[in-house]
Amino acid sequence: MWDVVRLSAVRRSVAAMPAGIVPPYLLSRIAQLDAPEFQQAAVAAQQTLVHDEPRRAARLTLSLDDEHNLVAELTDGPDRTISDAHSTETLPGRKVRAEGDDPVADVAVNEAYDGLGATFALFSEVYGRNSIDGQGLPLDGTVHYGSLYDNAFWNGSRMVFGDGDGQVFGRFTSSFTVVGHELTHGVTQYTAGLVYKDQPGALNESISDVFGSLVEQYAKNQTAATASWLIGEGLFTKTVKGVALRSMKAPGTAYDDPRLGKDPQPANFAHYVKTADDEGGVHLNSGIPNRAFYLVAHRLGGHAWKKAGQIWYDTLLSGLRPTTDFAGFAAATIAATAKRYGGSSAEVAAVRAGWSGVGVPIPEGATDGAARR
Amino acid sequence: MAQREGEATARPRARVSILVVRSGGFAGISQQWRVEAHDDAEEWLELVRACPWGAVGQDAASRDRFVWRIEAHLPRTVKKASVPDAHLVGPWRELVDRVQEAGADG
Repeated sequence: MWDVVRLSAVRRSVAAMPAGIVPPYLLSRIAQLDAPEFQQAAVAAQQTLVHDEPRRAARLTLSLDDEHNLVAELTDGPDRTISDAHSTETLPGRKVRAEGDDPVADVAVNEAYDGLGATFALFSEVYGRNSIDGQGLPLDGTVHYGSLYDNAFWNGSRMVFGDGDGQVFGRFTSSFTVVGHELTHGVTQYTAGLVYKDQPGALNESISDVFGSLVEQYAKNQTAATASWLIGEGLFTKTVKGVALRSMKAPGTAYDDPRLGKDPQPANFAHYVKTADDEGGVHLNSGIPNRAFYLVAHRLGGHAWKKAGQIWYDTLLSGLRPTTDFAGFAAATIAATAKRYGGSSAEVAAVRAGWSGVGVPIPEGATDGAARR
Repeated sequence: MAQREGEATARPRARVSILVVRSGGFAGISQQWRVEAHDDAEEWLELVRACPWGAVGQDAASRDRFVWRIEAHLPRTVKKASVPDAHLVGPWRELVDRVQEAGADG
């Protein structure tokens, strides 16, 4: 009856417990509690165990109600595991921090852990999405990948972060926007499945930048007006003339450096870059839908994750074809906005203005969704 | 940094010219290296011949990984391949490492 003793102690002395992560074995023990005062907690734990995958984590909040009954609330929680590749290119590497573990001495490990937590929080708390697949998929990350490796990537099942070369790039874990970007590639993989080439590839990239930026804004409680709208701020070393890798607010202005050249992102569809490299310029042309999102968020004002982010999330789940192009995506955002806020709403006007602002044509009849396929 | 295309010095026409372009990656910043082989052309030809030009692996799952465009301009033909970062191993890796070393010197 270890659980009862412990929970009784909580009831006597603590009005509300901080949130924590409940491993499955503890859920099982809570589910077996038979004392009347713990019935609600037991039922909640039973439901979690019955309906969820075996590895699912949950977040438990304990509190006392007005009649001094113990109230246990189970909500979705992340299940993070960070591994260390020790400068090799072998995945996953050695496990160094699991869910609920205390911080370690390695700052890259803690940054990855915290970034994954912040990303999970945005999708769970704002959009009601439980992890990448919506069903509590564990979040796995590897740090210290490769030697002087200038990149971070998503390999289809885990996020991988290099340390940078130390001359141009520093650690790729150092910005929430990067961690959020990579995890969002997983979300797109499990939803719209946009192919990673040409316009749908640039949309795939842009969606990762959008939610990567929103992860940072949500964690810092920034508004559309106070956010930096920068992707990868702080990744460059101090020797580079630049503030970040990309600017959603002003694509093409993030850096201008003698070694790297000038930020090549276009800000308008008229300047779409046609190239065979980079899967058809997916990291270049993402600047166009990036700025469209910024324009929408700026016009709607307030916290960008609430309306603009919700519209983009709704669109992601609206049944997009994997080959959707810019115009098709623009029409789908308008249809999603009309569905949530009404066809003649100010939100629809803002979304239309956003796409017009970057020169992406919007098909007639887009408001009712008829033209989005 | 890498020697830029078009910056080759006015040496006699090379028997073998190899271009490596790395694009993509989270940053989306392209970088390229080129080697012009003269006296040691045969050594480079061996590296080129060792690569599986007609059987490059694909990587449809990864996002933000580098893509390597590799071009070998040989006396009678031009070989081209686009190699995903995940498949830049074995002879491909050997060739790219050597071109990067030579390109960095040039």
